[in-house]
Formats: sequence, structure tokens, C-alpha cells
Amino acid sequence: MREITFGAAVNEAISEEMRLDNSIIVLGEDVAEAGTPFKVLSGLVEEFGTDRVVDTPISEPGFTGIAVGAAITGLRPIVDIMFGDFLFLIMDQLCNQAAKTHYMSGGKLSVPMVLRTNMGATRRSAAQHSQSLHSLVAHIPGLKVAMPSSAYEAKGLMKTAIRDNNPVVIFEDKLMYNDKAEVPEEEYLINFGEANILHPGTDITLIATSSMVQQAEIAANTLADQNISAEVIDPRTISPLDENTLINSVKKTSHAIVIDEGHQNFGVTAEIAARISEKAFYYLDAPVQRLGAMDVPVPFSPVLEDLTVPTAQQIHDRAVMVLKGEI
Amino acid sequence: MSNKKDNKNSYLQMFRQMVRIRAFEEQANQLYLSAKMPGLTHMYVGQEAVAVGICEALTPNDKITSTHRGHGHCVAKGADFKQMFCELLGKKEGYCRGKGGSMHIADQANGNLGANAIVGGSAGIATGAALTAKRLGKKEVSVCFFGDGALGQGLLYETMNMAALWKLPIIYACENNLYGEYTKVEEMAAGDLKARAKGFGIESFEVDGQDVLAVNNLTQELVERARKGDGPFFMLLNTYRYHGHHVGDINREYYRSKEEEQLWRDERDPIKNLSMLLIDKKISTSEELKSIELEIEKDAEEAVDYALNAAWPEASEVNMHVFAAN
Amino acid sequence: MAHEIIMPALGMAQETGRLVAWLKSEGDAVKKGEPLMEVETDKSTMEVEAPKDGFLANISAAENTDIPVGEVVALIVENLDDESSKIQPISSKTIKNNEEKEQIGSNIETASNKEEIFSDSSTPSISSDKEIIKPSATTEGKILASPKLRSLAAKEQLSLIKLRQAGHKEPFKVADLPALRQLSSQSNMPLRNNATSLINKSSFMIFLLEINSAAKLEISSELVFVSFISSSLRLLFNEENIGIHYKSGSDLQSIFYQDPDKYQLENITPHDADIQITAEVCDLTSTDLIQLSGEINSDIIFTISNFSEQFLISLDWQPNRISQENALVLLRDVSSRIKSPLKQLL
Repeated sequence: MREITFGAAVNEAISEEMRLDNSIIVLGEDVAEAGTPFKVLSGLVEEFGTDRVVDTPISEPGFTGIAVGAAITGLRPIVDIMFGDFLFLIMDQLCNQAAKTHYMSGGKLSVPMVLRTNMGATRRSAAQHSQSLHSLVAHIPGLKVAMPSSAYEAKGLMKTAIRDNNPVVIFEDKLMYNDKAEVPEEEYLINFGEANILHPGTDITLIATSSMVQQAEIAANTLADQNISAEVIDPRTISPLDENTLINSVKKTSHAIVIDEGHQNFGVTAEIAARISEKAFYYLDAPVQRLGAMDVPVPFSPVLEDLTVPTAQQIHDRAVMVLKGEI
Repeated sequence: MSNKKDNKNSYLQMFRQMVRIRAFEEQANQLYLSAKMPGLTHMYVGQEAVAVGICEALTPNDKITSTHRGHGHCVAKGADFKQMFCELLGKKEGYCRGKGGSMHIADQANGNLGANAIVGGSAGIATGAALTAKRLGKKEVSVCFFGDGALGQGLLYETMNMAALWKLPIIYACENNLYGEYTKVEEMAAGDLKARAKGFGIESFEVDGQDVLAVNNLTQELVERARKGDGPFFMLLNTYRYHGHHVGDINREYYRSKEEEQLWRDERDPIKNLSMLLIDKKISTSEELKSIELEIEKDAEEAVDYALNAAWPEASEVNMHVFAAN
Repeated sequence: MAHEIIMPALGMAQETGRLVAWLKSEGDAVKKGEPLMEVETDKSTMEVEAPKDGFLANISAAENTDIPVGEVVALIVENLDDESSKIQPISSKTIKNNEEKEQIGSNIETASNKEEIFSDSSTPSISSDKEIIKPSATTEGKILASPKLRSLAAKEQLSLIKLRQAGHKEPFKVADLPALRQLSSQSNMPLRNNATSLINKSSFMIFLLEINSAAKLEISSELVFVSFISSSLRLLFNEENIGIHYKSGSDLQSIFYQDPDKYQLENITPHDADIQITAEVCDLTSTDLIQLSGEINSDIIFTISNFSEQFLISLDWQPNRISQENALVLLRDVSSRIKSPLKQLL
């Protein structure tokens, strides 16, 4: 099968859907001729024109709000928030308006929009261009949150997001844009709320999101060298969350580590660990472990920044400790 | 200007709609004061000419976004009393099945995309609706209602900027009722209010918000131009709220005097002034207007009784409509 | 001359050592160099070997306790006392394993399930080898164990404290389950104290012959045993009803008697099984066996077997049911009745 990059997969997903549905527009800073700083949207404006691929001023709350209104009234906007860190600017439009409109209107209005943004540290971009803020979004009822972990996932999840009748926020790890993976040329969708078991195992469950899935897979392979059978699960969407698959795996292995690049405090790792303790407590043979981003603003200096993100080695070491009963 | 309007039905319709708003608000006020209505509510009484003058210039397909002081816009855009009172009381038959309440009341069938409890929060939504109209070639116009308080919100300026850049069919309707919550507008907004929009190259107009015919005439003109692609526009509507910021804001002498309030009620009341004009111009009689008022009061009372006796939503509603079906 | 076994100092700054397990029981013959006990410090576990040949005696330290280094924990003695006229401490294992020895003795096991030993102020001085151990769960706090192990252990009705007492590392995990099962199956055999007496059976046999021929009866030894044992139990317990669960033969067939001592021997008849059992009587006199562990349902068990021309009468008891002192009274009483049955009837 052909291999394409993560960025190209996102581009393909959006292009394909825009060809199918004339109500889809792209709104954001430098999405048209510039094709975004990461060039993910390059070529879209040439095909669909500036009516549908709309460069906005640097006004994140404004164009997010406009997208909400457009979505309520019949368009299917894809909003591009250049860096995940800028989510803090649009919290009212995203969380008070987009998330609640369907509910507050008793189901009469809906907001079919996609907000694509990014996450991920170690790009030496310092504290305001490196954050992974997906758990903030997932906290809000009415918003769906997808976290593609490969080019294949990126395309399938993006297409599903565009067809969803709700506000969906997609977090793309900016360090994965050039990672290649096999992506079929035929159309496919990836359902939300269906976790992916990438690597079946019996001894310990490694639940990982986004780029941490790759790290977990590396750890699973090194653990296998030590005769430890790790099961790697990618939830794909954290809202909705495929709790059953996670819980069933933990019931089988009795050990779990949750790995996510968001801050550990009150984050995805906390949520999933809590659900495991609620639903699989009597199957646990060791405390659930969490590996999240260190609870510090992301530092600039490479030697410091690299310390803040979980690594395959840390996952491996923690798994060994769990299984040896050292925790 | 107002005598250009010679269609009797149109005058009486505006009179009726303003009376409907006032009757609705008087009932809502009573419901709230008698502890039959939960939550928090803000009275539109005094500002009726703004909502009615504008909405009477719109079609049901044109979109509006409203504010926390939104009952007037909702009535003016054609909403039904029963469903409105049901919503205010949190009943199942409310416009939002009781999930929105006073501050989120919406009536999609009549183009009301909803009240909004965030000051200035709907600027994006109204502008987005205009973007949809333009993108899909629908010839619809959006009106974004907001108060003078929203002039402090950045979102408004961001969206006016984009509306101007993209020539969107939207009218930003700033209802200056002189007070943002408990504070005079002069203490919160520096400089010329209209000039804010002018800075984006948006044509700006100032109109007496107590004169429904003036508001309606101006809006008709702007809506027609907006449909042709001449938008966006900005209207500054000078008006006054008779009640406090919210029901319960009673002792308000610290920010405005009783004399000032009485002056507006006596001399600037939009309903009184329109009825005097209609009688004066022999378009109607005081008897006819009185019978309209009585009929509407009766409608409002009946609607309140209906809503008070209406069913609550079932508990199963609580987690319905978090997400839309696909 | 006795040789003292002390808690060794294994580390430089070590003040105490943990006695993990005794590898020999009291009364066991030991050879020089054989491991006697397992000792743990913060660093490691080691076995302490016997310094000379002899018998292990006077164990004064219990398993899973911290002992100051240098303290005497047991003795190695050259001989065990073997006076046959009195009941003396001796391992039941010795009897089983060394049948040529004819010691009469009682054995106080230093069993591992210490939590089942109850403090008893009437415990006689004879049990100098018996330490009263408090359940460590109450003194050392909550047992740390994984939720999964807890739920599995609960299903199998296993007590996690056994893992702690056996020195397993906490928190316990499912990996400890096999060990827990093992420990539990051992300790499910109730803690038994045992005393055994040997009596000449000639008087008993003559008595049986005489009453049967004189009165033309067919009274079996069974009826005499249960009657005598019932009398002795009644003396001790002063209870309204004495229930005897009589088992006999190598297949331990069960018969139940209620208050057999209240009847003439010829009138004793079996009872339904639904009685409250005071004691079990395991009659092996029709077999070659001297011990047979069947299912144990009682706190007091008499085993009567042939031992050349003697009856070997063994009493197992739960120390929480009767004290050792009373157990010995009971055994003496039963033994003397069987030894001199005529005197009993008169």
C-alpha cells in the first residue's frame, strides 16, 4: 500500500470531503495560499478558491465565533487554530457557544464544525506554542475530541469529524506531520468512540494517545524482548471514550499505564486511571500508572524540554517496575 | 419620515408587537416576583421599539442573535407566548424544552438563533450566519442585537472587522440603554460609539430607539441594501430600560435617579408615543388600541396559566441533546 | 550439655534479626551443619546451621519476630528425657517416625498460623516452648495487597495474613496466590496440641471377657470406650449433653452417641448424627494403624490404637477449646479408666 505523510493525509481527508459537500469551508489564519505554517492545507485554495478556503485576520475568537454561526445556519466549517495554545483565546466561543448550543436549544440548533489544531512539545517552541490542551476541551460536554496517532488515523478521523453534526476538535501532533504510514487510496472512515488495539498483549495494558502511541509501541517491542506481553491501545477519541475496550483490556492484564502528552494533573491520564479504578478495581494487581507531560510550562531549552515529555524508555521502565511488583 | 409609512396594518402590527412585548414582560416580572419562575431574568420593557422596529423589517428567514435581555427580540421575531412562558418556567413545551430558559431562549423556525448569556457572545454567531447567507447565496440578512456593554468586548470588533472585509449581510444593532449592568455607558465606553464601526469602514447610523417608525424605516433601508451586498451596517439605537438590570435590581438610585426613569416613561415611551401618533393621524382610535391591548393581556394571562400547568421535562431529558445525532 | 542457638549478627549496624522460619521442630534430631532456622536482615536471608549433633529443644522465639542479636532462641541438647511414667513434651513426629521409641509425650507444635493461638493464662509452664503471638495485622497495620488478589483470596476464603506471617513482601500480588494457597492448605489443618499415653491393655481385655461371659452379653470395646470417654468429658465440662462422634476402622466409619455414660453398657445405642459433638473418638484398635488423619471436625479427638500389648491413647486438642492442663487431666482420666475398667464400674 502507498505511504503518505500525516500532513498529506489530513489534506486528503479535507479535500475529499470538500469535493463531496459544497457546504464545507475552511476558516483560519494563513490557510489559503500559505497552506498553514506546516503546509498541511497546501493546494486547497487552488482547488476550492478563496470563497471556501478563507484566510482570516488574526482573530481566533472572532473567526471561531463566525464558524459557530455558520455551522448553526447551514455551513460545515473547518476552523484552523494554528497552535493549540491559542485555544485559550477561543474558550468562550468553543465552550460556551459551540458546545452548548444544541443542548440549550433543546436539540433544535446544532453546530457541525471541526476545529483542527495541534499539540506536542519538543519542537523548541517554548511555553506558548507547545502545549497539549486536549483534556481541557474533553472536559466540556458537547465537544468531541479526536487525537490521531498516525497518517492513517488522521485521515479516517478527519473525515468522520467533518461528517459529524457536532463540534469536533482534532488535535494533531505537530511533530508527526512528516511521519509516513500506509493510507489506502480507497475511502474509509474511522468511527469515533472505537479504540484501536494496535498490539495485543496479556501482561500489561499501555493506553496511549496521539504521538504517545508510537512511544508505547516502541516500549511494547522492547518489553517483548524481556518476555513481557504489553497490549497497546489507542483510544483515538477521548470524547467519546471507548471505555469498554480499555476496561476489558485491563481486566485481562490486571496492569495498566496511561500515557498522554497533556499535563498529568487533572488530565487524560487522570481520567482514564479513574475510570479503570471505578470499573476494573477488583481486577487490578498493581496501581494504575500515569505518564503525562511534566506539570511545568514547557521550557525552551532543549535539554529541559526533553525532560517534560514521556518517552518509550520511561514507559518500558515503568512497565517493568509494575510487573516486578516494585510499585 | 414616519409619515411615509401609511400602511395601517403595518402600524398596527408594530403597535401590537410592542404591546405584546410589554405584556409578556409584565407577566414575566410577576412570575419572577411571585417566585414561580426560577433563575435570573432581565426585562426589556422600555426598549420595545428597537426590537419591533428592526424585526418588522425582517423576514422569518432572516437571522437574529439576541442578548440576555432577549424576550423582546424573541417576541418581535414572531415567537408564541405559550412556548415562551413554558421555556421561562423550564417546562417541556418550551422553545428549548426547558433547557435554555430566559437567557437562552431561541426560536429557530422564526430565525432567532438565540439569546446569549455572554455579553457580546453572539457577535460571532450572527456574523457566521451572514457568512452562510453570503456563501450559499441565500439573500438573507443577519441582525446582531447587543447592548452598549458589549462595546467592551473584543469579539465584537474582530467580527465587525471580518464582516467588513468580507462584505457580509449583517446589521450590528447596538441598543444603547445608557447602562451596562449598574454602570453608566460613559464610564465604560470611551469616545464616539458610532466611530468604532466607522473605523472598519462600516456605514454607521444613529436612530431614536424609542421611535419604532424611525427604527423600522432605517432598518428597511439597510436590510434592502444588505441583501444587495452593501453590508455590513452598524446602528446605534438610543433607548432606555425601565426596570433594573435584572428583576431584583430595585434600589438603583446609586446609578440612576427615579426622576430620570419617570421622564423616560412619561415622555419617551415608545408605545404611548406610537398610539398618540396613530390617534392623532386618525389611523386608529383609542378604543381600537385599547381593545388590542386587552386582547393581548388576555393572551398573555392565558399563556401564563397554560405554562404554569404545563408538564416538566422527563428526567430522561437531562442527557438528551448533549450531542446531535449523526 | 546444651548448646545455645543465638540470633546471629549478620550486618555491621544490625540490632535485630528477623526469625523467618524454623526449619526443624522442637524434639527433632539434628546433625551438625543441618539448617535450623531462616533469618532475615535488611539485606538478605540466611540459614543458621546446627552447631553440633543433638536434639532441638527449648525454642523460645517464634517465627516472624524480630530478635535482638545475641539472644538465645533455642538449645541443642544431647538427649531428650524418656521417663515413661509421666507425660512429657515430645514430638508426635518422633513417635510416628521412630516407632521403636516408646516415649510417652506431648507435643506443642510451633505452627506457623500464630494468629490462631489464643492467649490463655492457664497455659501450663510445660509449654515453655510456646510463644503467645499477637496477630500482626492489628499491630502492624493494614495488609497491602492488590485489589485483584484481595478479590481472588476472598473468593477462595484465604487469609492474606498468612502471606505476611510467612514473610512475603508486601504489597501482595496475584503472583503470591500460589504461595497463599499453599500456606492456607497447611494451616487449614487446625492447630493441634497433642498428648499421648501408653497403657497396659490386659486389664481391659480381661474385663471385657468377664462381663460378656458372666452376663452372656456381647458388649464391644467400642461401647466401653465411648462410655468411659463420655464420663471423663462430663467431669471436665459439666455439660448437659456429651456427644461422641465415634469413628473406627481404616475407613473411619462414623457412629454417633449421645451421653453413653448415662446408660448401662448393654443399653447404649447409637444416636442420629444431628447431635452437638463434644469429642471425636478414633478407634484404630481393629487395625494396625496408630495414627490416621481423617477429616477433622472436632476440637477434641481421642485416637486409640494398639501398641504391642498396650493401648496407645492419643489426645489432640484445640487450645482454644481446652487448656493444656485440662487436656492432660482429661487424658489421664480416660487412660486410667481404660487401664482399670473394673475400678471405674465399681
